[in-house]
Amino acid sequence: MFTPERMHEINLFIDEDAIQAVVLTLAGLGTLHIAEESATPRPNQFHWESIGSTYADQERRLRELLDLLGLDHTDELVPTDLNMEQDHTFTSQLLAEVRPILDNWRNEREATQQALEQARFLTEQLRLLKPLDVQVEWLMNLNALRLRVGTIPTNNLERIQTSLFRIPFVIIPSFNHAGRTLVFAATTSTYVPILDRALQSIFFQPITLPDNESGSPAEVLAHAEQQLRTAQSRLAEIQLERQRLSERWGKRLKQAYHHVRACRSLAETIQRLPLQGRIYVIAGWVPVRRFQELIDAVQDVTHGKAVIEVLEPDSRRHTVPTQLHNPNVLRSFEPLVTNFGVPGYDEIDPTLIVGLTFLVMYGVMFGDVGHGLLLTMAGLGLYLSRNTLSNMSPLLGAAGLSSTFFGFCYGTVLGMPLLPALWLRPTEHITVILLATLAAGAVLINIGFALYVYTHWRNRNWQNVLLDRNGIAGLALYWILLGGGIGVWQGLIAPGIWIGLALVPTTLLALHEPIRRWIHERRFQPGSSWGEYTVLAFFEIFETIISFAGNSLSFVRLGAFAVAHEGLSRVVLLIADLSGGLGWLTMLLGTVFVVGFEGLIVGIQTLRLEYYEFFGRFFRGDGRAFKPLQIRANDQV
Amino acid sequence: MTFLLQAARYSAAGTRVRALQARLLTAPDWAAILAAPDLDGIVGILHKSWYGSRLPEHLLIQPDASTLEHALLSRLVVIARRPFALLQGTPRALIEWLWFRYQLNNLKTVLRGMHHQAPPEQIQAALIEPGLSNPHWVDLVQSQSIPVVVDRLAKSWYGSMLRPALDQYRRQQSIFPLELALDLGYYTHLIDLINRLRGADYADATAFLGTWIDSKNLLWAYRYHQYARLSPEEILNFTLQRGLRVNAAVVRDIAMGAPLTAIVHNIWQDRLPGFEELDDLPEQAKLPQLELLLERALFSLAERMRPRAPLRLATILAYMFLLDYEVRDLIAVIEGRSFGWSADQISAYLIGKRAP
Repeated sequence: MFTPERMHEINLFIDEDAIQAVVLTLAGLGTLHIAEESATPRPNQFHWESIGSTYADQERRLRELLDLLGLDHTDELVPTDLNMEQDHTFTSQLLAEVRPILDNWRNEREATQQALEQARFLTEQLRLLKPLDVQVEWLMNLNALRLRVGTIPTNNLERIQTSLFRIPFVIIPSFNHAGRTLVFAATTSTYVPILDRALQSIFFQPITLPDNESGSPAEVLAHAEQQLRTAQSRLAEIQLERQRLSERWGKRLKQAYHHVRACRSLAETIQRLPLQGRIYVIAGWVPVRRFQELIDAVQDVTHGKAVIEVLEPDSRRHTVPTQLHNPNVLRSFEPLVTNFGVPGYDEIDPTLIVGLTFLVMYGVMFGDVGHGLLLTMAGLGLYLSRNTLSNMSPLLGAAGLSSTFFGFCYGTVLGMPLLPALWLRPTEHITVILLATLAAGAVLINIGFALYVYTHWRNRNWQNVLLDRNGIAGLALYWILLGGGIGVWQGLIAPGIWIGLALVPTTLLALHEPIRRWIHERRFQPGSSWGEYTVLAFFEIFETIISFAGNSLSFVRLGAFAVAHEGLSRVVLLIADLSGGLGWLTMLLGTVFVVGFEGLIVGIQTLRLEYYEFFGRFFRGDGRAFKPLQIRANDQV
Repeated sequence: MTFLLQAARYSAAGTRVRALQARLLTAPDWAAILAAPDLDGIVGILHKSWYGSRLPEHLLIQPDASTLEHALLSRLVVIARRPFALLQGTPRALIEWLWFRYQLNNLKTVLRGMHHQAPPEQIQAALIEPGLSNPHWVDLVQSQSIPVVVDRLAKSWYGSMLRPALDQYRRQQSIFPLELALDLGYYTHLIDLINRLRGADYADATAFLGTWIDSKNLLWAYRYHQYARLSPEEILNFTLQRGLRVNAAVVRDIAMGAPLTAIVHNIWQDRLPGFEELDDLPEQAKLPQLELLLERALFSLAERMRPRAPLRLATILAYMFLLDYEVRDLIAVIEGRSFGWSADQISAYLIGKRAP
């Protein structure tokens, strides 16, 4: 729990004939993190490159069809019985079967949409003519004038009027829809060819009356409206047809899509593996507890012919990937650590400590029974909603419970002192709570020192354990400054003794570089000149002392926020009292504000304390996450 | 105060552009390129220049004109994106839109390829840096027909331009309406962006882009009139009616048969060096020569502006034109050499004054 999973570094030497089976097995197990140097594209893998590009092409086509059916590409489990050399033929058959059907559907939808547009414009055109007491066929066959009715892109209206400079004309725009305008254009019969060419050049789409249509505009309009309704109902049917097509083909297409996606990724993985003669080399890391399972599976699939080299991971040669292994209850706290950085393989995993300290600090700053329970309910709601933020729900719920606990300590419910305080009321004991949080900060800083010492002691890095500012020398200086300072203040210790004591760790810290060189090279001198080193060491020591003070004082905000929280809640109560009949609304909005806004700020402050004051003391976070070769639902390998 | 604001706005982009300008080919480079006896020699020189990193290794062993041209155009498209990253507001939108024409060319390649039923691999190979745009043209190439492409682009700017022309394409079975719609849409938006600029930015943009757009509009109008014999109404509808100097009134005159030299003289008067040569040319040779003269005029303007306006939009525009013309001239040299032309013959077609 306090250290990442132990790993074995392994090299698998696999015959060309067995590579597909081995990669599939490894992807099925999901236990091997392939080393980066094995993941460089190799130009000699034409066979797998070709297979990969076939699958990439099929993936694109399937995605297009899924988009056409309005289906998403997620949440499908991928079978592990893949045959990358063969499976694309099944997908090709599926595509050959489905594609014409869906293309026909798409074409019909497009044609119907076009017919619907035409019918819509036709009805609009006839509505304008409705008051006229003439026959429509007369309008279309005038003797002296020629009338053209149709639509043009709305942007081209000005253009056509500018371009018709040689002829007498009338253009009447009447109705806009979907970027097009219905226009009536008329000129004398002599100039009709000019008008027609000009209209054509601005993408005019004529609207013609249906064949054999005659009668008054009102009569023709009734018929046109009937056509419009027919087109609308046909379009609705086509949409339903999509539903039927989705039901019929959707599942197979989605399965094929994920199948193809997995095959493509695996083919690309093989393409990147080093190949010597007929032997592929797969280098990577496997968790120790799953090592034997991997070996057995690989030997099983290669009939014992795989050559396997096992090495102890060496962080100096490679960045060994880190896999955290915490109990389920702690998993939701892992992002608090990984957001800062993935622990290095040789570092400790601080998830448990961070989880606990986060909850305590959050509770101290946001202590209130009512607000805490609201946060807990919000966490529960988030959990039940099962959306993308659901994995935050345990953290939110636990923060709520911690706030509730400290609410009992402070005796407040929604800012009201309704309960007896088990500890104290922050606004009434401001000095006490500030000093208490300072003390809590000192404890946390000491935990940071301890974790640093433990990490480097575990890695046998004795010089860091003893001489680093975060090691024993730094810890001694911190305690001499803090404890000695209190002792001088209380008159228990003479200032001279205090300064003398402080000089011991200070000297060690100041001389850490010459001491290191003496240990390694038997030469007691720094890398640069003594003069330069002295100036540098002075400022380093100065900065160390300042940072001790700064880090410790930073924790005062815990108490300050506890006071501010109670104060802010009381302000809400006060305004609610003054709001008369709308007091309940003010209370509601105020509580939402306090829980939502202040709750968020407290969360940010807590993270700040964790990351800057605590993590900085012992945690590098420069590790690389363990990402095994794996077939995952809805994602890459 | 205005000057300080201007300087602050263009300091980062201007600095980057000046660094990029330093990498343009120098006069000795051009002299060597023009003196190179064959494609091998040109590849050798380019390999040592900043184009070298983009040239495929196999070109050194087996030079091939079309691969080399493709690589140069790729370099152009990638580099031409750099200036706008450090700009903001309308100047950024303008420069970005200016770059966008390379992506428009990719779409035209897709449409032409599909119209002529070229295999997807062939179309894909002809695209220049297709991954720099959204949508990815490579995906579009797999579509089965032009209507499907238009449908897939429906929600984009491309779709809004192509959709109105699709019916015309279906009826005429010609790619012209689609390309026309894209071009008119592109340049109309460019003019809108220029008109949104103020002060020195507007003056710089009109000096470069105004002349550029006007020259395109004028050449379109004459080509439609002389080669396609279109009606005046069609010519007006197929050109930009709100160009900066070549507007609807000028296009109308062209459509009604106004002589080229008179129109050019009215618009650019004596600002077009070499204009008098046009009079001596046969009618069909006038347009290509005018095109070259206009481009050379823009090249000269860009060369002049380069040192004069370090913290203005003009610097960036000048660089965009100089880079584009450099690559086009290189392509002219490569093609000229492929035909076995001499350096003098090739120089007659170059936009920049490359020979010492």
